[in-house]
Amino acid sequence: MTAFAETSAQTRTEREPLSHLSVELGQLSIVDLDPDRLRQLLDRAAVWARAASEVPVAQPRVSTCLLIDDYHRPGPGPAEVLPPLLAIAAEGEPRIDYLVRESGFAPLADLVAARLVAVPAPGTNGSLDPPEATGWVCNGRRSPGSTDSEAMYRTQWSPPEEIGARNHSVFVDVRLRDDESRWSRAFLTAVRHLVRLGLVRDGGKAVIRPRPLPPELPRTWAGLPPVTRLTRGAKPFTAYRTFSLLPARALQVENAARIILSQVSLTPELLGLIEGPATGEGIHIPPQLIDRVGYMLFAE
Amino acid sequence: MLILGEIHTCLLRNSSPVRKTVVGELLGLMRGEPVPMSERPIAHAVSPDLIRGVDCWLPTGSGARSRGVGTIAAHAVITAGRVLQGSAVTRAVPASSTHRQPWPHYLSRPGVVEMIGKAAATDVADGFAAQSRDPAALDLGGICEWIIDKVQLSPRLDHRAPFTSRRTTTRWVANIIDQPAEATVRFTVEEDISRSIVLHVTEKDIPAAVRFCEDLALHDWVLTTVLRIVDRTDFGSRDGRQVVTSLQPAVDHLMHVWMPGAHVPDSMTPLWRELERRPGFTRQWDATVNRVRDQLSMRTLRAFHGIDLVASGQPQQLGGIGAPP
Repeated sequence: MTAFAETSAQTRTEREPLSHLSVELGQLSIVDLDPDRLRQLLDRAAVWARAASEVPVAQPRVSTCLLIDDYHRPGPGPAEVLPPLLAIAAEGEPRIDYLVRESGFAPLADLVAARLVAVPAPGTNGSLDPPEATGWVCNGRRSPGSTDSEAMYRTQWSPPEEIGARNHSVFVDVRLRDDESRWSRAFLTAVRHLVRLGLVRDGGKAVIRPRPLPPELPRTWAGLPPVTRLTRGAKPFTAYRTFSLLPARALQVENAARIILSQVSLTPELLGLIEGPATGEGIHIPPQLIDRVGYMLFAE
Repeated sequence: MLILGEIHTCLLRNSSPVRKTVVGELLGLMRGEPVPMSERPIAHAVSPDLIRGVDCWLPTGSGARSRGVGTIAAHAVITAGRVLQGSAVTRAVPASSTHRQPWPHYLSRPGVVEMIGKAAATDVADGFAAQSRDPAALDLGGICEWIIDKVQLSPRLDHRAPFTSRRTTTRWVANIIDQPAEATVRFTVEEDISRSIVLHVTEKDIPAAVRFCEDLALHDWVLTTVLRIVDRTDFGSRDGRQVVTSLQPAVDHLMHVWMPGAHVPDSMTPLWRELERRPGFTRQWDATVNRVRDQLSMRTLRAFHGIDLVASGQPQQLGGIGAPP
């Protein structure tokens, strides 16, 4: 038995409550908050959300959320544009448990960027330092001549290559942030998936705590919590798996987000905080993060 | 299963020992991840693990081809605000497939390299412990240097070393056994600055084995560095002032660092005992420290009585540890 302990030498990772599934009903820009457009989007989402929520367990815990992008295309504030959405949410079909604000996830992006581990090309043995973060993430080896002069281009160019491609390469290079240090839609999508999967911590602490709607709607989006709970008694925002309903035009961004998620490395302690309770409930959780993320893509 | 590790040990490039708050900043290599620190019986802090991907040949004793794909976990350790270590570790396990899997498969098991090919684990262990290496094979030392540079280049350090010292490299292999009673260790000083450790430990003792190897590498470096200071002091031809100046770094920066096993779990105590028996680390340390202290006492007394032989033009004859040939 050890009689001596130092608390600063021990670290703990906070547990988060977990639903079985987190369903994202849609991703709306502020201009989509027009009452007619909103009704149309949510009626369609309701059908798929019901199907997605069929989790094969005795007492399923499913939470739903709706994303509002107040980051890439700013617009009028909540007091002005949210009332129609809240009226639909109050009707309860589809049930909207949480309202998610894209800007609320931008401060977490650095935490995820620090955990990216690039796909090693064959021959990578640890001798050379990994290329420093350039604000881009790709799924393979970039073309060596692609930034050189035209003459170099003609003589030395060789194609970029997806590492681990099945027969033919599909090379994708994803921008994480622009020159003004604004995070890309693809990167914030990956961050949001990780938060919904309960896999982001800062100093061991949970980063997002859903709050109820403030009594009075704020004039600016920054006045609203990153995740607002609209339904009393909603199941936890974080879940073993995520499911997102998306228009087909979002495919490009989601694919980019998947390439980012494929390169996120998390600690065994954190992964265990999800796997432990899942095993306790008799539920199988895929070990690879990417397999915990599901979609339904529809034509608009 | 096999554990492969390498540790590089050096002096933190700062004119004085670094305070706890600065150590926390130096080792905060992963945003959002805490830096565990302990102060007793000696200050000791470990950075969070950084993960690096590899896909390369694994060294083998027989020359058989074995491809390793997966990740290496690496961290930095600072002891007494003075000694810095870069430590890289991976578990080598047989692959379930004959070809490389999609990358998320490997990231779901951080710090594991899967061995693709027919080479046996013991063959890889032999190859890894050997001194000569194929430059294309797994290079944990490169990852140790990467970690060390991340710390040494920090603007929080003044980049002035108080004395010259050499970096040691310690390569280690742990073979996993079922019976805890069989835990063994073999420590080899291969040449001037390179060492190897071969261990047999149980699977549950793997984290303890990492700590043990880092502790052994630390103490080996401290002993090596103090011996070198004594070596170059050249007691016979220097006056009291020169001897004191030469020995001062050992007293100011190193002698208090000696605390074998302080931050190593109890399960590793038998291994430290084995090393104390042979080569007898602490015996050599005590002898060296006593020699340093005796020299300082003697020089002080001589100075006090005004009988410094070298200063008065009469070099002395000396023998023993660190004496010039």
